[in-house]
Amino acid sequence: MSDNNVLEKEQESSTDVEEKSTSNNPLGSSNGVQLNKNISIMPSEPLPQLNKGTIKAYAAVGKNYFSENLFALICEKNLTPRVITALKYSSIINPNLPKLVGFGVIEWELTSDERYCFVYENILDRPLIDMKAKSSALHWNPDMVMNNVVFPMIEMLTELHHKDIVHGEIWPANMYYSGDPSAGKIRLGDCLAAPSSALMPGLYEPIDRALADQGARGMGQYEDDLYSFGVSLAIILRSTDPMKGFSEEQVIESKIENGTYSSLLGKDRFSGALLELLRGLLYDDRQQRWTLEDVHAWADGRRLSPKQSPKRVKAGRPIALEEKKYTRPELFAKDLHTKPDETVRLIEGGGLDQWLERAVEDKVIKSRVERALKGIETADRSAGHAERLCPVLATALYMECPVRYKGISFIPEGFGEALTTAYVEKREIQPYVDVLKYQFILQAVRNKADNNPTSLVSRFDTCRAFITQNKLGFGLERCIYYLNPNCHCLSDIIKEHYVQNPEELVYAYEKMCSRGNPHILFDRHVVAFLSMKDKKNIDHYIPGLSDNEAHVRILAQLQILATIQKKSKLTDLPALSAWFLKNLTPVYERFHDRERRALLIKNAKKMADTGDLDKLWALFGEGSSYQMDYGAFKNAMSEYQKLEKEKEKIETKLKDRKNYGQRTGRQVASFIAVILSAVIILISSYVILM
Amino acid sequence: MAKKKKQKKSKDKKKKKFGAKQVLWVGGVLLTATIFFSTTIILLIGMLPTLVAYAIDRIPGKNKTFTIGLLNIAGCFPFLLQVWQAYGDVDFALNLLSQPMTIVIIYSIAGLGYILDWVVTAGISSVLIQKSKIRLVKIEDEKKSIENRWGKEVNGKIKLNEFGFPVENQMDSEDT
Repeated sequence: MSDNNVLEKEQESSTDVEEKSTSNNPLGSSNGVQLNKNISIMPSEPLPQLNKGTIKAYAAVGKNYFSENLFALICEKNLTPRVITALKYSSIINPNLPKLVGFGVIEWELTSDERYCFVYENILDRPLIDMKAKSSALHWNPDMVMNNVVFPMIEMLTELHHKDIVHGEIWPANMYYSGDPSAGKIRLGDCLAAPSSALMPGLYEPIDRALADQGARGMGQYEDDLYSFGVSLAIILRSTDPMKGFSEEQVIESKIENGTYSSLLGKDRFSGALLELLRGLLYDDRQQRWTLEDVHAWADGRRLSPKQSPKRVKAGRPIALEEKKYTRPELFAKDLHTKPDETVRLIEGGGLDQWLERAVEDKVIKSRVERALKGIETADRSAGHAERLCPVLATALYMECPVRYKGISFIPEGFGEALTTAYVEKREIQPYVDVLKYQFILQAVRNKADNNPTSLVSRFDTCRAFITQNKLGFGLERCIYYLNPNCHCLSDIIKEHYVQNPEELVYAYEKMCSRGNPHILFDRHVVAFLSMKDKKNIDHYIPGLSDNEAHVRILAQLQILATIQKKSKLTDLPALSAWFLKNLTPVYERFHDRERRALLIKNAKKMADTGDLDKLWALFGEGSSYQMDYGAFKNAMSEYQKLEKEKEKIETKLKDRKNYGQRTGRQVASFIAVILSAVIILISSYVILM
Repeated sequence: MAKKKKQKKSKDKKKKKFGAKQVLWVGGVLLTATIFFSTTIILLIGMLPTLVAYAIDRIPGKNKTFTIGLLNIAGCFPFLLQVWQAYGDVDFALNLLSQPMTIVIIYSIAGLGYILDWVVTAGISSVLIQKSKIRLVKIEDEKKSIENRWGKEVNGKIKLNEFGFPVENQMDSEDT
C-alpha cells in the first residue's frame, strides 16, 4: 500500500502542475473542446490518475445519450494510435472495460495543434500501481484476487478475443480499482492510444518481446496478453519482489536464466488453482503457454495436467564476449549486437564453432548457425558487415530473438511503429534505413519460427524497393506509411494538423489556406501518404508533381486534390481554390495567347469562387488546348515573319526614292501617250480629210 | 585565256547579228525609204526628238522613248497625211518642212510627250511612296498587335524552348 501513497502524492503534485499550465493558457475555455456535437473535452480538468505516461487524460462531458462522466486520452504524435483496432473495440460492451464512446481528431487548445483522442466512459478509479513503479508486490488475498481479478480478467480477455483484439497493455498500471481491493472487480484501461505494448515495461512481455524496444514489439498475439495477465497476477499476489531494483536487462536475464515463474515469484508459494493458473500463464515457451481455451477449462474447474516444458539449453562451458561470459545461447545472442567486431573475431577464429560443438551440444542450433553463417559469407562484406552479421547470428542462436542492430531492437512486425516513432522523435534514422536496405533482415526473419514469414519477407522486400527509389512517393516516407497503416501524415507542412486520410488532408489544407498562404502543399511525406491511402486515384498524377515544368506541377497538385474532393464528395473548398488561383500563374503563362490567358484568369476566378476544385481543374486540364495554342502561336510567328519581310522590302525600295515608282509612272505615261496620240491622229485625220 | 575566248565568242555573236537576215532587213527598210522618199523625209526630220529620247533613255523597256515616240508620230501624222494627199510629192514634203510652223507643231507635240512622261512618272512615284509609307505604319501596327497577343517571343529573335517559350524565362523551381 505504500506505493499507493506515493502514487497519490505524485498525482496531487502532477494535478497542481496541470492546473497551473491550464490556468495560464489563454485558450482554456469553459465549454471545452468539442470532439463532436455530443462530447466536450475539458482541457482545464486533467485526470492525472488516468494518464498513460506522456498520454494525458482529461475529463470530458457527454450530452444526449452519452454519459456525462467521460474521460479523454489525448494521443501523442510520436505514438501512433490504434485507429483500426478502435473500430472493433467500440463495439465491446463489458462492465469492466471502459466503453469507447468516441474517437477522432480534435483541435487541442493546450498544444495549439490537432491531436487524436479517445473518449471513454469514466468507470476507472485509480491504477493498481504507478506507471513509474513498473513493478511491485501487492500481496492481495488470493480468494479476493480470484473473484475481483482473475474471473473479470478472463471475461475481458474473452470479449477482446471475440473481437479479434490483442490488448497489449495488460499490467497493473493499466488495471484500475476503487482503492479497496475487496470493494469490486478490477477494470482494464485503454489499449488504443499508443501502439501495442508501447507503454508497457518489458517485465510484462514474454522474453522475446521484452528484448525488443518499447513500441517496436508489433501487435503481438493473444498468448502475449495471457502472459501479461499472468505476470500482473503474480505481482498482485506476491508478497515480495525478488527482482526489486533490477534493470530491464537484468529482468530479462533472470527470466532466461531462471524462467519467468521463478524470477517473478521467488520464494512466494501458492497452492491449488491459482498456482496452476500462474504456471500455465507464465510458461516461457510460447507453445506450452496456456491458451484462452486452457484458461476457460481451468475456470470451469478442469484440472489440466502440467505440460513438460523443454529445458533451456545451457552450455557446459561459457563463451566470452570480451569480458562477459555466457552459458545460455539466448543471453549470448542478446548481447551480440553490442560487440560486433568481437563477434566476427569469434566466428573467424573458430571459437563460436567450438563452443557450439563442444559446449552447447545442440545440433539444431548448430545447424541453424552454420546455415546463417554460410549465407553471410556470400553476402556483402562492405563497411558495417560486422553489425549486419550480428542480428542474423543472433536469430540463428535464439530463434525468437528480435532484430537487434546498431542500438535498435525490434520484432519485425513492430518495425513500422518503431520507425514512425524514431522519425517523429527525430532520432537517428540510419539504422532503420540499413535494416530496409540490406537483405540481412530477410535472413533474420527467415530464421524465425514464424508460421508465415512469407508475407513479412515480402513486405520488407517491397520496402527495400521503395527505399532504393528517390522519386516522389517512394523512399523512407513510403515505408513508414506502408509498414504502419495507422500512421497519420507526418509532413511538416501540416504539422499542426492530424491527418489520417486524404479527405482530412484536403480539409487541413482548406484550414491552412483560410488562415494564411502556405508556401507549398505537397512534399515527399504528403505524396507517400496519399499514394499509400489512395493508390488507385493518386498514383497516376504523381509523376506530374516532380515535372520540370512549373505548370505541370501545380496542375498535378490541383488534379490530385480535385480528385479527392470529387471522389469523397467533400464540401466546397473556397480557401484552397483561392490558393490555387494565386498559384496558377505558371499555368496561365503556359498559354502564348494573352487574350486566352485573360479569359482563363476570368473564368478561373469564377470557378474558384464556387470552391469546386474539379471545375477549376477542368479549365486547364485539356491537353489539346495547349497544342492548339501552340499551333496558333506558330501561325502568328509566320505571320510576323511575313510582315517583317514585307517591311524590309518596302524600306529597301524607299531607300532608292529617286527611282521608286518610275517604271510604273512611265508605264502609265506610255498608256496615256497611246490614248493621246490616238486622239491627235483621229482629230487631225478628221480635220484634214473632211 | 578563258576571258579572251569568251570575248571572241561574243564578238562572233555580234558578227552573227549582222548576218544575211539583218542585211536583208536593212536593205528592205532602205528600199522602202527610197520608194516612199517624201514620207521618209518627214519622218526623218519630224522624229528627231524620238531619236534623241532613244539615245538618252537608258531605262530597260524604254517607256520614255515609247511615250515621246507615240506623241511625236502623232505630231507628224497630219503632215504625212498632207504629203500622202499630194501623192508623195517630194517637193511638197520639203515645202512643208521648210515652214517653221510644221517643225514647231511636230516638236511641240513631241515635247508634250516629254512633259507627259515627266509629270506622270513624278506623280505616280509620289503616290506610290506615300502608299508605301502608309503600309509601313500598318505593318508596324499589325506587328505590335501580334506581339501584344502572343508576346515578344513571336518575333523569332528570342531563343525558344520546345514549347515556344523564351528559354531564359522558364520558371522552374525545386519546390512542388
